[in-house]
Amino acid sequence: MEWAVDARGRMPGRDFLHSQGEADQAKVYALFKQLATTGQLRNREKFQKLADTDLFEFKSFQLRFFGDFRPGNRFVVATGVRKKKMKTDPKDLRLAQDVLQEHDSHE
Amino acid sequence: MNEQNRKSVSDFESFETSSPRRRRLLRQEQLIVEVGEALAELLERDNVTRSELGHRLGKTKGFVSQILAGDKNLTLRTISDVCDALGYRAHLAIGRDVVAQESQFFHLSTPPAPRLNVRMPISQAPNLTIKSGAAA
Repeated sequence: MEWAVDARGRMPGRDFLHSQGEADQAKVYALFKQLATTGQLRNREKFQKLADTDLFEFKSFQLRFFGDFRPGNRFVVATGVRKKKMKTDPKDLRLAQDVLQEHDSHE
Repeated sequence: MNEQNRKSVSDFESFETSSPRRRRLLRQEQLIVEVGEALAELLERDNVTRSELGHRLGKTKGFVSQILAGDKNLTLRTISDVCDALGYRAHLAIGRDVVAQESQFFHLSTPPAPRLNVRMPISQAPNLTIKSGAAA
């Protein structure tokens, strides 16, 4: 598991997670750990591929983290948001894709 | 992995070891995730839909989704009922905790020994056993 680094050297996913309360952080870290140690998350209520994008989404109540797999059994977490509507905001997905692209460009 | 990416490794370990409260929260959530994963695996393996499971439980599809989402604070009775409805029996395994020795966390690797096993069909299931000992 890696945090994506954007063009300005920031890690938006990490910054967002650390801005949350410790109970929410624990929920998200538990999901990350499960994926890291087993290589998969079967529970679609917690982790799923988003339709029409290359992104995968971690779900922890209102929190969403977007990222994608990379060669070498790596998963890169790009961004996180607190979602208040049922439908994911396309702007959030575009931002995650942009961050991943920036991350890939300076790797 | 560059130096900045390596922060992701130390982030988890820092959270886990920063306070007993945080470690407890993490262990709670890890158990909830493991139960959700085990149930999701059973549904997938036996090709049972959430609606079907809800029907078997006398509940709704939404109830099953809430269980999988971790929205509900699952009781042991509910876990047992769900497993029974699927033709399985849950077993509890308790292992010695290993804190801050899991630096492989951010590497995809062989899964650790399961702490909750709900995979055995009733016909093959032994009586409930509670074990203690070091986790693999």
